[in-house]
Amino acid sequence: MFIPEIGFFSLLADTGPVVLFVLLLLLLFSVVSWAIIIIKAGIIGRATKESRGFLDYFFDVSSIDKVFGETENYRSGSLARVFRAGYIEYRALGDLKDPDEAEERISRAVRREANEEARSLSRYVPFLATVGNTAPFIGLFGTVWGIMNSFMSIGVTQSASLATVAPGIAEALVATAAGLAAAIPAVIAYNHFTQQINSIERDIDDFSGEFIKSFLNEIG
Amino acid sequence: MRMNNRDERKADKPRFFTAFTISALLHALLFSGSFYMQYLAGLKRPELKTIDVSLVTLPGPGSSKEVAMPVEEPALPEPEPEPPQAKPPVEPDPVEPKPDKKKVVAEKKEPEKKAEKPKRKTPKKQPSDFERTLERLRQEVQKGPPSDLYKRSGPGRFAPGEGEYGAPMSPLERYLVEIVTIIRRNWSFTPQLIRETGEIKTYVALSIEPNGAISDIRLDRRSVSRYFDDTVIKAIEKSSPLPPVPPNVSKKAMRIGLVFTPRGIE
Repeated sequence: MFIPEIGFFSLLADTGPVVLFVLLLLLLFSVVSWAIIIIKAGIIGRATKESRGFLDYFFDVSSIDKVFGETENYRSGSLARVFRAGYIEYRALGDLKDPDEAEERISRAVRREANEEARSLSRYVPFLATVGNTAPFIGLFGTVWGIMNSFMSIGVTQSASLATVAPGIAEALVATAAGLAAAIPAVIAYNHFTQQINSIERDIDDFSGEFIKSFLNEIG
Repeated sequence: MRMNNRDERKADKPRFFTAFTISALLHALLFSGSFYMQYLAGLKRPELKTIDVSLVTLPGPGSSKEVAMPVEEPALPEPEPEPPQAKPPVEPDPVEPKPDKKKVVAEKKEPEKKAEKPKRKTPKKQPSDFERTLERLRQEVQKGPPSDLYKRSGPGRFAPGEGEYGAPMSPLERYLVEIVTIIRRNWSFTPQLIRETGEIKTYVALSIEPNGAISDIRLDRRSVSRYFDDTVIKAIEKSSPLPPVPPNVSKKAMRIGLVFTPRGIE
């Protein structure tokens, strides 16, 4: 196979169906993981920023009604959402004056919203870990398959010259390169998002008690 | 209001499709950009000389000569080593009478000569077997090229830039390397399409006019693969016209022979 043009795309032109399938799968993985990276970067970034702003407001203002009104400006903030869930439950209590029952109901509503928020933030993120872990192996599979084929072509031509061996190996190595190209951003993004989500969850755990206490103070 | 939180979360789905579209577009942009860059790089890239390296046969005039030398020399004395084998029994005869004359000296000499005899015999027997094998190989090799045209080209003879251990190439060698490089560049075949087993070697004779035009292409010996032969002919036809023959090489049409194998042109 004497191809004068040497480059990534000229290598792709001669790939076999299995290597091509592997490359397409890796491309799909890459597209999906970048879509997740784009969407999660926005959601988690906003959640972190607005939660911080909401906390500042919460400690500045003593009236929970005012704070609730302000939550409209922090709709993407995780802490603001948790506070809203607690406030709605507090309003639903009506004339119930038993502080124990009120505390239980409000804390249940806050816990539920906190869980929902954590689930919502970490949705799709495990896919990044899956891509990070499996893409190099999928690429490696394509490489092994391609090298097998190139060795078979050595057997057919009974020639072990570089001209016979090198194109097959180069084609095969494209699969490993594609696997790494898909995996590396996914792993970096996964680690970053996990750290951000853990930070938000810690904030929710820390300040849920403060929210419940502020509602009970209003009742008491 | 809790419904509002849920509604916001449900809005993630359309957002995901938007992000997916953006991501797909980014990938397409990246691919088309790199394709364009490769195209530009291909336009700017100067034409490099192709160096064909074989992992099996060691190319170069040095290796071909080293093999050829021992083949030719031991081939001639081959019939001679056998008659000397008859001589050793003759030699001991004059040695034996010696002990009659000087017994003391003979006793000392005999073990020395006995020790010498096997030394003489073994080197004579071993080369004879070795030489016979070499002779057989030589005959097979001589059977190889169908005409004298191919004697000029040894394995790897046309590797560009190779002189005999750094010696400058003659104008003829330089011209041959140049035309072989051109033919090789125009030659393409897919090894997977060769289904036949056995040695694939095509001997092609062709004439080069002084102006570089190729004429009278003849397959002196076909390979086992018809496909391979066709690619060879196509490559040669595609390479015509070659650069004009330098006046210091030949002023009239020259006829050369080329041997095509899957490893390259020899």
